[in-house]
Amino acid sequence: MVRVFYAFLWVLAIYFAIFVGHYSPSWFQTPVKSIDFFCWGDTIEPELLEEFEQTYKIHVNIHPFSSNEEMIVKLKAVQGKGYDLICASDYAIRILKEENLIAPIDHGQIPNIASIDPYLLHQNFDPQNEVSLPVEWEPYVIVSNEPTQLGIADLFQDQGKKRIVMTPDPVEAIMYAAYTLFGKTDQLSDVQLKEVARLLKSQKKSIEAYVDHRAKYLIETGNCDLALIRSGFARLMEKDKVPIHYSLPNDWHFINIENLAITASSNKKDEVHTFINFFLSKNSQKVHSENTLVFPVHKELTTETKIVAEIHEKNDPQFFHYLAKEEDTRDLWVSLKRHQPSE
Amino acid sequence: METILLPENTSAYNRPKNFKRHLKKEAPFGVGSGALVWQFLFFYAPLVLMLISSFSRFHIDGTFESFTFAHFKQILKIDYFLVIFESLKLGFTTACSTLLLGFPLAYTIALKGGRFKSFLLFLVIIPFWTNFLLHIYAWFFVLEKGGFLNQVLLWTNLIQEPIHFLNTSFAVHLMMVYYYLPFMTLPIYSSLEKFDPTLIEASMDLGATKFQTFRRVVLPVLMPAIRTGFFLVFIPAFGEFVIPELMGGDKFMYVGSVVSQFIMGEKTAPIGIAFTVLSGGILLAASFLLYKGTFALNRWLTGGHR
Amino acid sequence: MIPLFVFAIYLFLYVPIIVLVLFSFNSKSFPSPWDGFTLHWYKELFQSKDLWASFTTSLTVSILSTLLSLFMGVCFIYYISRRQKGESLVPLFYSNLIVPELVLAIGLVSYFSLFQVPLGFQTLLIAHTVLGLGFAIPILFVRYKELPPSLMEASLILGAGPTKTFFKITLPLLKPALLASGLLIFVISFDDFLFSYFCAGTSVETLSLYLISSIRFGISPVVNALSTILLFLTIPLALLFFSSKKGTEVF
Repeated sequence: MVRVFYAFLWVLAIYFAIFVGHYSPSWFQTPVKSIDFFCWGDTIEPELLEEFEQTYKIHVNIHPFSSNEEMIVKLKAVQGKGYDLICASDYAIRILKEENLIAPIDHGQIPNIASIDPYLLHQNFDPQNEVSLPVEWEPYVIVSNEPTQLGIADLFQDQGKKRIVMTPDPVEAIMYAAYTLFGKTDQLSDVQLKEVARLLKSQKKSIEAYVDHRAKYLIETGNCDLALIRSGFARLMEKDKVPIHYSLPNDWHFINIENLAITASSNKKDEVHTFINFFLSKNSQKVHSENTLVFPVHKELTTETKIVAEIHEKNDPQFFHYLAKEEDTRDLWVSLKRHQPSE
Repeated sequence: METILLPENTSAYNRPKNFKRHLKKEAPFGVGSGALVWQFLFFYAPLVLMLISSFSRFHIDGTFESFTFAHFKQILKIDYFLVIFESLKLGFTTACSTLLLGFPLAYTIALKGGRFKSFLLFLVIIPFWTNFLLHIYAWFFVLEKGGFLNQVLLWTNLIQEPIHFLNTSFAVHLMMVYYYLPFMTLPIYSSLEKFDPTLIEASMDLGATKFQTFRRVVLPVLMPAIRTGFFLVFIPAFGEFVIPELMGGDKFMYVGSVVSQFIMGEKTAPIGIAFTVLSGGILLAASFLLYKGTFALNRWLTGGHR
Repeated sequence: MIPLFVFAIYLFLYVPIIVLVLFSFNSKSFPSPWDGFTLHWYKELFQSKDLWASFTTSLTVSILSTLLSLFMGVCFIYYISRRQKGESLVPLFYSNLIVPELVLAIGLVSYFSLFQVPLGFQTLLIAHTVLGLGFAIPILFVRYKELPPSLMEASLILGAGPTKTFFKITLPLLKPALLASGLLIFVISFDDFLFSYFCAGTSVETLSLYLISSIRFGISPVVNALSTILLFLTIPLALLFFSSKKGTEVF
């Protein structure tokens, strides 16, 4: 009996020692106003955060996540508490909206909305831009050593002659394969999914790696010939004078728009609106886009590159989303990775 | 310390004294139970709960709903079993390769090292002490298309075109062996260190050849150490997924890769847990079989002694 | 013949490291070949705030978990020294090495989410300490059993109470084992990747996590510089461990 008592004492000691942080109130809270920003690691530059803090006296706490999935799970788990502002991709906004985790944005508090490139507004995941505003966007391009005009379909027809780098994201890969096989698709039937799996597996012998960031490095070192990656990486390579060519796929245009949204549970809505307005200003957009070479949303900065013009011209951007049930997607991905092409 | 013993059911005012006495008596346990409490709270409890939760369904807010096999049904598919099998293969080949390399290594250092014994052993240990990510990174340099290995091979004209090393199965296995070699070498070395060299001398004096001595005298003594080393490599190597991802271009799927992908999603987290439990169980069974197998192997190799 | 083979193994072990260190001084980034000696990357390294943050995080977690493990380990040995029955409980701590780290990490993650404990510094500390206990207690216990009981008996006979005996006799004799296991736990915790990946959440970045995100981007000489420095930092630690003679007996 006494032993149990002692053991219990230890449990209490451990509990308090470990979790004392959660119970000490003012010690951890800064007197300065602050907002909690849940976003990608590279969403915003430190210099911009400093500028914001100096100008408006509001501190921004960055909480990074590494995937949209992670972000959605976390937000759901805490019902958004602890975060005021989030940065999410297009389809994630749709999910968050359905789950009522994000709140309407007061357009009146954000004068810089007027300077957003109208092309990026009114997308089908948030037609009135009630809950989200775009802050950056990127199309996906095909990078190659030779100046050829390729389509996504070409990446699947290679038959092992070239080394290709594909995305590590199953959602994207499935969409590429599905579009190649069936054209514009929104939902895949079981039979169609099987065909998609077959196509992806047949591609495997040409695959150098399923990577995202390392693609830049693999191309630079000549370890791969083709890659389908976000334009930011390609433009970075171009800036570093790496001898590569890149262009939009000639069959489908896929783009990714990152948006800002306010959490429903936030009680610092004014501060958040100030920040959103700040991030949409010409200067912030300039700094951010020059740093990461994504495309800004500010009208006056819309880069006069061929790519942007092409996208506007074709005017048929596709967004990534689940084409099949999550479980089936996962199963397919496991099955694909496990599959070894007979050399 | 014991005063007059009173019968158990004496008046209530005796209780506090009893309690205090018990408190003092059990004081050592009070001190030492910290480790036990910690172990139960953070090692056994999580594992048991993980086992239970793989068979349960929970509500969003964390309350228990029902028992179910649904999570397991999701992974009782051929692909997932093949992934587990691949991990078993990886663990096994790594263990065998490290044995092939580590045994001569330990043997040479222990028996032929002389004055340099400690230093040589120290050299083997250093990679074990530094972050394995650094070593992965180091191997990038060597295995690159324009990397060290290819440059040397080209320079010596052994090949005409750079060989594609990185992002292959070869690179994965190479790195696995590199990382796990100390785990195999050290127990064997440790056992050899304690080995009584006079036994060898005696055996040779009695007419046995070097080979016979090795087989009948040295090997039986070393078998426990070999066994230890084998499992020190096999079990962690089974769960390895970072090395295959970085060295293999993420083209291969192992237990660790599946689990880490599943655990991040919300709907798939319970499936990830079920898969962990399943893999853990299979690993346990496989280890048990291998363990028994080493005894049989021992009998065969050493001709029935020990 | 065998010595040649062994020499080849050493080559295998060290060529990558040597190449890595050399290229941290190369003035041009890989894949350019050797261009010229420079300390430029080291300068860049020292100015990186992210790096220092992750370094101090790793350091703090490792030191704390080592201290915690050793403290609880010593307490447990004290209990065993007073109550022999406690020895039967020691095998409870051996399972830390039988269970793959991956399984334990996943178990902890689901355990924490079940109890709504947010992942962060504390959960990482807990994970590392569990790992640490699995090393501390077996090592300390083995060393404890090796101590000649006559020393303790003599102290008791001469009138010192059991507690005093423990502090004045047993504990000092355990010092080499404490040092050895402490170093081992520290290094394993500092280099740990799996637990950081699963149990640390996103707000805590350890050195391993920083390294892997750098590696995922490809090669950068700054990482070379970091690797070189880490290598040279851990070598004296290894030396210390090694010289305490408890080194190989750990296995």
